[in-house]
Amino acid sequence: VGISGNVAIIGVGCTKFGELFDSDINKMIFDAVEEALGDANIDREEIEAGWYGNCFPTSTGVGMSGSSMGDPVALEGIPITRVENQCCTGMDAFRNACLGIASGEYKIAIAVGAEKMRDVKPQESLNSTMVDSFHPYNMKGFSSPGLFAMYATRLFEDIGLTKEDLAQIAVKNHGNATMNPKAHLKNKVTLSQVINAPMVSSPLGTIDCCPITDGAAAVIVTSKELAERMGKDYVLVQGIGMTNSFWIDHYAREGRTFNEIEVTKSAAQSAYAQAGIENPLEEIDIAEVHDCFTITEVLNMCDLGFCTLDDVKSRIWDGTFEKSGKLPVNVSGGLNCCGHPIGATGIRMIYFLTNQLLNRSGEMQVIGVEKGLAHNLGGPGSLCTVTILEKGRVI
Amino acid sequence: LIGIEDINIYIPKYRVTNGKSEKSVCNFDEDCITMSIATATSMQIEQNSINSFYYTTCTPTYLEKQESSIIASVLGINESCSTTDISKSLRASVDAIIQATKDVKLCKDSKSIIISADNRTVEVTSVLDYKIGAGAASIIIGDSDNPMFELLAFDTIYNDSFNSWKMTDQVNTQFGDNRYSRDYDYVKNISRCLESLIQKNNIDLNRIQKILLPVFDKRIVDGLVEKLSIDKSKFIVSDSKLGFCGTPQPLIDLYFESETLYEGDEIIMIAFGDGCSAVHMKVGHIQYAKIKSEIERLENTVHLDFEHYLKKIKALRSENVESLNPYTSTIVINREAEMNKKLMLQKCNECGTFHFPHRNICWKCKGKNKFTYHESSKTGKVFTFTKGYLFPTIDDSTTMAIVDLDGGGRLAMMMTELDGRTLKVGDSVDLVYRFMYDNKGFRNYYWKAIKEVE
Repeated sequence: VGISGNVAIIGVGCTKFGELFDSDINKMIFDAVEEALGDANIDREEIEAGWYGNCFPTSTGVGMSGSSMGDPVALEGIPITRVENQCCTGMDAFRNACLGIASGEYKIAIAVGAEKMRDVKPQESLNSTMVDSFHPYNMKGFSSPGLFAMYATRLFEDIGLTKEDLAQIAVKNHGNATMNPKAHLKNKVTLSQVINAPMVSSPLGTIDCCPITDGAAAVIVTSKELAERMGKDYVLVQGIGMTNSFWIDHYAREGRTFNEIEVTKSAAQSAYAQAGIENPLEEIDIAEVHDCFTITEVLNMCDLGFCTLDDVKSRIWDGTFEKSGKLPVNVSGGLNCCGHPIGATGIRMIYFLTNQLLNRSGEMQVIGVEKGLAHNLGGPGSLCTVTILEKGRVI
Repeated sequence: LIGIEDINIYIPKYRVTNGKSEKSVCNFDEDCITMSIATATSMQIEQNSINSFYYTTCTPTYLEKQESSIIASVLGINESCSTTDISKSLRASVDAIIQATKDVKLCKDSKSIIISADNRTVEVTSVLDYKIGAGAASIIIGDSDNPMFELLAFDTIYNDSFNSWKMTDQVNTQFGDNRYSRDYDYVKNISRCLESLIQKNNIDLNRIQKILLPVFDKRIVDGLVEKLSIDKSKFIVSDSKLGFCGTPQPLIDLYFESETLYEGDEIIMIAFGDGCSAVHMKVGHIQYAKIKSEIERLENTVHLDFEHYLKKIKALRSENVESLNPYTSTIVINREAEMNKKLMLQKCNECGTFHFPHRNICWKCKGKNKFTYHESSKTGKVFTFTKGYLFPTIDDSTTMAIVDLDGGGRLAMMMTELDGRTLKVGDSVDLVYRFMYDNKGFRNYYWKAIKEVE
């Protein structure tokens, strides 16, 4: 039995994403899991297995194992596995929970993603890992935005992409985020503000980059049959594609064009095959994609098959990906405004799409959505997870 | 004929002036080791014929660790070459010539390489600050039919006096009484050494066209003229636009002066410091065109304002940089020394794909154990780049680039010395050996890309 059409999401929870100075990671996990349990209307004792997505354990060691998720929510006596897979951490935890259900090993499973990034200064968070980790010389000097800025410089050269094109993506996502109560940033921005923002790694300025954010999210999955028997609203998982490629040492390997992120294409191909999707622009109703930087959203749109390198510039401006457009992208505000607590992001996307597909997103609701896509990208294009969700039963 | 077969110099591109004096200044990622490698890489070094290597400096990076070994390993000199550091004396480069000549005499068909570098600092804003520069020079000594400079005779004397010195816990070079040094000590020691050289070797002073005097105070010449009765015009003092570069200065002077020399000329090169050494040479075959183009290339300089000067010499504290704690490991460095020091690319023999760093299986064709290793070209073109502001640096920003190497292979690497110049996709770059950072109590060197002069 595969995942496609057999695994159902019956409960989701998510903390507000932001600089949660009053919360430690345990409180964030607790809040997300409690919301998901309430949403699923089950007792914690009914959960038979858990997967915990956390990319960087805190310096106090919290996050190093599954227990650091189980203990804060009193989930004991069940297997909980910590998942760490760069920025795909959250969605990979979700994938593992789905596999646990699809295999028939567990009746109900939980996937939790959490990351506490703002117990330290922003520069000492993700950026410091690029300084303090990795090879002594090779790649030393890069930051996360720097790794993606390389794609931007190349696309500026190859397809005439401009800083204005990138800025329009930030304008769209910031506009969307004003409606999202759980977004980190909820301010509208203008083209001029984005273009003239302080440079982080050329050509990416501060507003082209997602902020450093705390957050946690949880999702409870079960089999379609059990969801039906439980008489709950649910969303069906129709496909999860996950692929990997180079490790960061080989990011610049010969032959890479920096006009695409290869793993997004292969992961999407896998997910589309599982879900029976042939024309994503026509068949997908809403998408949450990994826009850690505005340039990443440009690449995603092409690599997911929503458009091509030839028409991406016009698509950015013609409203295709606006909330009211043909294929609304990042209605939540995306990583650009929700932030990117690494282990939590993938599950935050599942949370957001579940609510959209169950028609309970308030003013953020996109009318008539049946199929949603979530795209989570890891490293500077090293691995990717694409999930296709479909509205199941709504009572 | 035993003589100097090749010579090259390296002068950092930065200059600083107070209006009266001007000097060369190292970039913040340069030291004597990197300058030494820069000066030697453009020479034709027959790596297996080098029998001895002398590295001379007064400003070593390490007090305990042989720097000639570091340099030799990057240059790929054979491991049975005798490596020696000669330090602590400003006349060390000429002393090294004396030793190297003996080596070449002793061992048939062998060559010796001498690299000399200094990056001396003087208290900022002191009167001597703008007179002490930085630079490096390298020469190859061998036995051939027509060297650039045939080595005819040497002499040396030692003398314990306080002209300049630096104790182990001192940051800057200290100087003794200026007039004592200039009018008494220099004149006394140089005169004695020259007189000895001339007398012992029956040198006809009329045949000497030039006496290269590596000093930054021209007034020393007056004392020598008075004492030795030598025509003042024969004394050539150092180029004041570089400042006095320390140990390599005699070789730097020789390099610049070689443009004006003719085959058959005889010259004397002097080095002063805790005594004096002198070498009598006869000019042979000089590659004027090569030297001319190199000297023209050296005219590509950048003048620094005071703030940037302080940054280059790291006199401005930066807590951002001081908090830099990059992962590094002596074990990893040793394990990967061959790969990283020479930038050895791994080529898959099955599909021709270049890999860096090395792999156990080709990512493209999945070929295993069918690799050959090639030293990378040190030139290439920018494939893409970014100018980043997050990585802690003493510079204004850190530019990272992906470079397609001429001859194949691709590297992601840090750039240096852009100095506000525009960088474009497709720009040509050279690879230079620089230090990345100091951490864990040692210095971490690697290659960086530098945009070619247009």
